[in-house]
Amino acid sequence: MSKRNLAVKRATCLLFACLFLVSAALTGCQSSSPNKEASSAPSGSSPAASQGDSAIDHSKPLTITVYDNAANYQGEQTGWYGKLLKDKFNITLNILAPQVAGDQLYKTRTAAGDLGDLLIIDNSQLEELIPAGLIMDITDKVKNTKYLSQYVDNHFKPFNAGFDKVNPDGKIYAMPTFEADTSPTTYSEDTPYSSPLMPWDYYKGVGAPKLNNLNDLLNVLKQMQQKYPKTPDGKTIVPITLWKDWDGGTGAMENVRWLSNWYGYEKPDGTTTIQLNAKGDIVPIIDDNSMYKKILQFLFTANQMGLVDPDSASQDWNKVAEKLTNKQVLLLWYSWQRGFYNTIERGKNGDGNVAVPIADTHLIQTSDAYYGNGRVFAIGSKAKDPDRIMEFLDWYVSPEGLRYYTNGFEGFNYERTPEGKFKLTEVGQTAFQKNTPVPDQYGGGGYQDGQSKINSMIMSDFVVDPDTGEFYNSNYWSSTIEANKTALTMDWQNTFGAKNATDYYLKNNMIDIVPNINTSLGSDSSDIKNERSQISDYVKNASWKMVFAKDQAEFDSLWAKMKTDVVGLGWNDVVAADTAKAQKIVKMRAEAMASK
Amino acid sequence: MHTQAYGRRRVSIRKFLYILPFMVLLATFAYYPLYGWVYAFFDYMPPTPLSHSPFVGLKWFRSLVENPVKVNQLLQVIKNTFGISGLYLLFSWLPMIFAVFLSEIKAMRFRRIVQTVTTLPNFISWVLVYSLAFSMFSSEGMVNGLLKQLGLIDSPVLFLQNSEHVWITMWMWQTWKTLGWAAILYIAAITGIDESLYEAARVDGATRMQAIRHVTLPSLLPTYFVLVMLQIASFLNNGMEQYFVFQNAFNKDSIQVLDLYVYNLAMGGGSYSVSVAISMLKSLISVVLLFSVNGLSKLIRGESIV
Amino acid sequence: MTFGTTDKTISVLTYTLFALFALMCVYPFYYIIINTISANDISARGEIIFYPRHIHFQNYLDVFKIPGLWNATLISLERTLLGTLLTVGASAFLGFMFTQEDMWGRRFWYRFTILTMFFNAGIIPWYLTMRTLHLTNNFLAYVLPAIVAPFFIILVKTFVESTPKELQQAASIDGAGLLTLFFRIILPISKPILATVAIFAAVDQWNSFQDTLLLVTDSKLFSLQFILYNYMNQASSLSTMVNLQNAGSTAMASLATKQTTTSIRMTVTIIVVAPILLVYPIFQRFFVKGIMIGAVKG
Repeated sequence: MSKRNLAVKRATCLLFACLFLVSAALTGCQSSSPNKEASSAPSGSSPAASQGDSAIDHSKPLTITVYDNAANYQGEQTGWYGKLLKDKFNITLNILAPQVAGDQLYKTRTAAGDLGDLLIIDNSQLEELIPAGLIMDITDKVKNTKYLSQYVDNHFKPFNAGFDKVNPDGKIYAMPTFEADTSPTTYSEDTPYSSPLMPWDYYKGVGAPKLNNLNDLLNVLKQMQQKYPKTPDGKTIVPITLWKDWDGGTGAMENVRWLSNWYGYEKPDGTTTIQLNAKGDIVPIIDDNSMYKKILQFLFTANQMGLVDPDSASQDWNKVAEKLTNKQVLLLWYSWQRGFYNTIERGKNGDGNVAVPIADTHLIQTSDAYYGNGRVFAIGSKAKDPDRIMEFLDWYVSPEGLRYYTNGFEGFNYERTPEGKFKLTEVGQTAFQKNTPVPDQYGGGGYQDGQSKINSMIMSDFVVDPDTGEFYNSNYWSSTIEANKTALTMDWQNTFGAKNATDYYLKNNMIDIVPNINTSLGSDSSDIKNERSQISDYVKNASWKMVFAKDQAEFDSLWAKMKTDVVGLGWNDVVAADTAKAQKIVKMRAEAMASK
Repeated sequence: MHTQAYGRRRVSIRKFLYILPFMVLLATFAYYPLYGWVYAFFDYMPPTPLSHSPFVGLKWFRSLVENPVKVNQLLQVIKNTFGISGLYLLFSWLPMIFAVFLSEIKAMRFRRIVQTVTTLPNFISWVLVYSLAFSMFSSEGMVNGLLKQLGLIDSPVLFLQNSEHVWITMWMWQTWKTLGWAAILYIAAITGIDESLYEAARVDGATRMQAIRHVTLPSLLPTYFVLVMLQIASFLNNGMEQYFVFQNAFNKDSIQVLDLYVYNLAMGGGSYSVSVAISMLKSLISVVLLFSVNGLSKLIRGESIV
Repeated sequence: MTFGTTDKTISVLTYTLFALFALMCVYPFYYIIINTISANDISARGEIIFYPRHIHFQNYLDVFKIPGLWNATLISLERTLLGTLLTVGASAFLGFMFTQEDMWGRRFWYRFTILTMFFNAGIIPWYLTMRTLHLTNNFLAYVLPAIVAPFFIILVKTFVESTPKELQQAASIDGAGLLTLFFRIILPISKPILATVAIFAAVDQWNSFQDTLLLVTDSKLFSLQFILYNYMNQASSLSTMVNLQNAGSTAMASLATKQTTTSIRMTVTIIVVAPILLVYPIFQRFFVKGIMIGAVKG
C-alpha cells in the first residue's frame, strides 16, 4: 500500500516539476520583453491638462471599463497608447470586446443592468438601452467641453434627434463614430468602396479593350485566363473567387451584394431583403428584375465559362487572402483588396491592381460618414467618474488626440516638413505592418501592439488638422501622394484622363454619391428577428446553389423555388419592416441633399 | 431491535451528510439557474427586464413547426441528426476495440507512442482541422494533385463540396479526431482487470483471442453500456463546430444537424427566448431518452444503470 | 499476458493498423509544426508539406511577447492543478458514495447528479447566478462549478462496482470506517480510472476560456487560453470591419495585409498542446500494469 502511495507522490512531484519547467521556459522569454511595467509606475502627479478645465482631480488612478463593439481585443490597453493615457490622465482602459467574448456578453451584461463605463455600441443597441436607463444623459457635459462642443450642432444634435421615439426631449445621449468633417455629400477616398478592379499588366496584356458591359468583362476575363493560366510560380489563376464566411450579417450572398453596387443598388444597413438605389427605389431582392438576380446571373454565366474558382463554396476568407497575395485573382471589387498585392516597388514596374471602369455601370457610393457610421460612443449610467471619461473623450477629438490615434508620435512616425506639413518618416511608413518597436520613453513594445484598442474614433481621420490644413489620414497628405507616384499610377492616369478612380467616375457621371445616413432604424421584434434569420439562411444557400447551377434551367428552378419558399418563412413581414427602414433612409437623404 | 434499525438509519443519514455539500454545489450551479427556463414563455429581449416582457405562452415552441417550409426543414434536420448520431452509435464500440488491441501490443515503447500520438488530433480545433482538410482536398490540394499525376482524373474532384456520403465523411473526421482520446477510458478499465483472471484463462489453455473474448470484453461491458446510454441520451447534441466549419451550400442539406440549425438561425440575430425554448426542449428529450434506455436495460439485462 | 504465438497474423495486422493510424494522427501535427517554423509567406502559399523551409521562430517569439502571458500561464496552471485535484477528489468520493446501497436517498441523489449533464439553463440565468454569488472576477469561478462532474462520477462508480465486492466487505468486517475504506481500499484500486479522470479534468481546465470571456474583466485573472484566444481574434477580425464601409479603407487595407490567421492559429495550437504532451506520459504510468486484486487481498 505504502509503495503505491509513494508512486503517486512521485508522479505528482514529477507532474509539478514538469509544469514548473514549462512555466519557467515561458518566463524566460517573457522577462526579456520590456512592455510589462507600463502600468506599475503611478504617474498621475503630472497630468498635462489638455484643456482649461482644471477642476478634475487626477491623483487617483481610474480604470474605465470600455464595452466596445469595435474592439477585437479584450483586456487592458497596454503598450504606448496605454502609457500615454496613464501619464496624461492617470486612467487605464479595460476593454470588453463582444467580438472576442461573443454576443452573449451584451445579453448577460445588459440583463444584469450594467454594460460598462464607456460604451461603443450599435445604434440599435443604443435605442434599446436608453429606455432601459443604462445610458447617461451627457447634454450638459458635452456643452462644457472644448473640442467636442464644436461638433454638437452639426453632428451630435441631428443624430440624437433621430432617436425621437426614445429621446423625445432631444437630449444628447451619444456621439456617433467615425464622423468625417467634410460634408454630407462628399466622398473623399480615391477609389469607390466597390468597383471593378483588375491587374493592370494582365489587362494590358490582352490589349486593354474597352469594357462596355458585363459581357465584355466576362470575355476579357476569359482572354486573360487563357493568356495567363498560371502565375509565374505555377499557381492556377482563378478569375473570380468567392467566399462563404462573410455572408453572416448580409442576409444574402455578401459577394453579390457588393457587385450590385456597380449598378446603383445598395443594401441599406439593418436590412436583408431589399436593395435601394439613389433615386429611392426599393426593390426586394427576390424580385425578377432585381439587381441581386442580375448579379447572380452574371456569376452563374461566369461559372459556366469556367471563370469562377471551383473552391469558392468551400473556402473561407483566409484562402482568398492567400490568392490575392499571390495575384491569382483577376477581378477584385473592394477598394482595399488592392493592398494585398500592390506595393510601391511593384507599382514602379507598372504592376498592380487598378480600377477598370465598365461603361454601363453607374456606381452607388455613400458619402463620407458625416453623421457617423452605425455605432456610437456613450457613457453608461452607472459610470464611476463620468467627468474624467468626458475629459478623455474631449482629448480624443482634439488635434493632439487625433494625431496620436491615427499617426503615433511626431518625430518617430512622422515629422514636419519646412512647409509646415506632415510627412511620414521611414519608420512611420511601415510601423504598422512591421509592428516596429517603439522607443522606451514612449512605453516600448511594438507600434501596432500598442495602438489604441478602442478601434473606433468619434471624429474620423477625414477631419482637417488645423496646423497643416490636411486630413489626419496620412494617405491623403500631399507628401504621401507625392511619394506614391509610380509608373502604375501615371500610366493609369494617362489612360483614363483622371486623377484617380473616384475622379474618373465623377467626371463621367458614372457614380451617385448618396448622403451617408446614420440613424436609428428601430430594432426588430422577436418575430421579425426569427423570420429574418430563417430567411437569410435560406436565401444564402439558394444563391450559392444558383451560381453553381448546372444549367439555366436549374438556375431558374432554384430561383422560382426560393421565391415561393421564403414567403412561407415570413418574407412579407420582413420586407415590410425593411421597407420602412429604407423609407426613413430615403427621406433623410432627401433632407441632407436639400440642406446642401 | 429498535435501536438496530435506528442505528442503520443513522448510518444511512450520515452517509448522506457526507455528500450533502456536493449536492448543495450542484443545486446552486446546475439547478438554481434553471429558473431561466421561464424566458422560453416570454418575449424576452435584454435589457428590457422580464417583468416588462410580454408573456407569449408556447408561441416559440409552436413557431418551430408553424408552416410547411419550416416543417420540411426541421424534418431534414432531424433526419441528419438521427443519421449522424446513429452512425456514431453504431460504431460506439470502436474505442473499446482500439483499447483492447492496443493493450495486446507487447512492445511497450510502440504502445506508448501509439497511445500518445493518437490523442493528438483531439487537440486540434475544428477550424484548424478544416484548414488542413482544405489544403489536402481542395481543387489545388495534395490529393487532387496526386490523382492528376497518376492520370486518374482530368479535372479536380471537389471533395469538400460533395453532397454524397456526408454523414460518413463527417463520422470519419470525428472518429479520426476522437478515437485515441476516447480509448483512454477503456485503457484505464483494462488496467483495472484482475490479473488473476488472465492467469486462470492461461491455465485453461485459452488463446489470445479467447482471452479477449472471455476476460477482457466482459470486464469492459459495464463501462461500455454506461457510455452508450449517455450517448443515446445526448442523441440530439451533436455539437455544431465540426458541421459549421464543413458546411457549404452543397452539403448543407445533409450536414445540418439540430445544433447547427439552431446556430445558423441564431446567427442572424434570433431571439434569446427561442434559443431557451429549444434548449429546454432538448433537455427534456434527453431526460426522456435517458430513462427509456434505463428502463430498457432493466428489462433486458436485469439491472438499471442510473 | 503471454499466450501462444499461434495468431501471428493478427499480431502483424494489429501492428500495421496501429502504425498507419498513428501516422494519420501524427502527420497533421507535424504539418502544423513545420508550418509554424517556416517563413510565413511560403507557408501561406501552402508550399510547406513535408519539411520546413527558411526556418524561423518569429511566430513563437510573437506569442511570447503578448503582455500578461506569464501571469496568464500561472493562472492556468493554478486552475488546472487546483481544479483537477478537487474534481478528481470529489469524483472519487462521490463515485464511491453512490455505490453505498444503504445511503439515504441514494438513487434519487445519483439521478439528481446525472441529470445535470443534460440540463442547460441558458447563458443569462447562469451569468446572473454567478454574479449573485460574487463569482465574477473571482478565481473560484474557475474551480467551484467544476467540482461535481457527473460524467466522472459515473466513470468512477462503474469502475468501483466492477471491482470485487469481497474487498470492501472484508474491510468492513475488519471494522474499518467509511472514510478508512475509501482512503485505504477504494482510492488505491481506482488508480487507473482516477488517472483517466485527472487527464480529462486537467485538459478541460487547461483548455477552458469560455468562463473567462464572460465572468472575468480583471486582467490579473486571465487564463492562458483566454489570452491566446484573444490574440487569434485580433488577427481575424477583418470580416466584421467590412460592413462598416466607412471605417476607413486604409485601416482595413493595412489590417488585411497583415493577417496570417492560419499561422497564428497553428502556433497557438502547438503552444497549448505542448504542455499536455509533456504531462500525459506521467499519467500513462498508471495504465501500464494491471492490478493484482489477489495481491491486495493477501
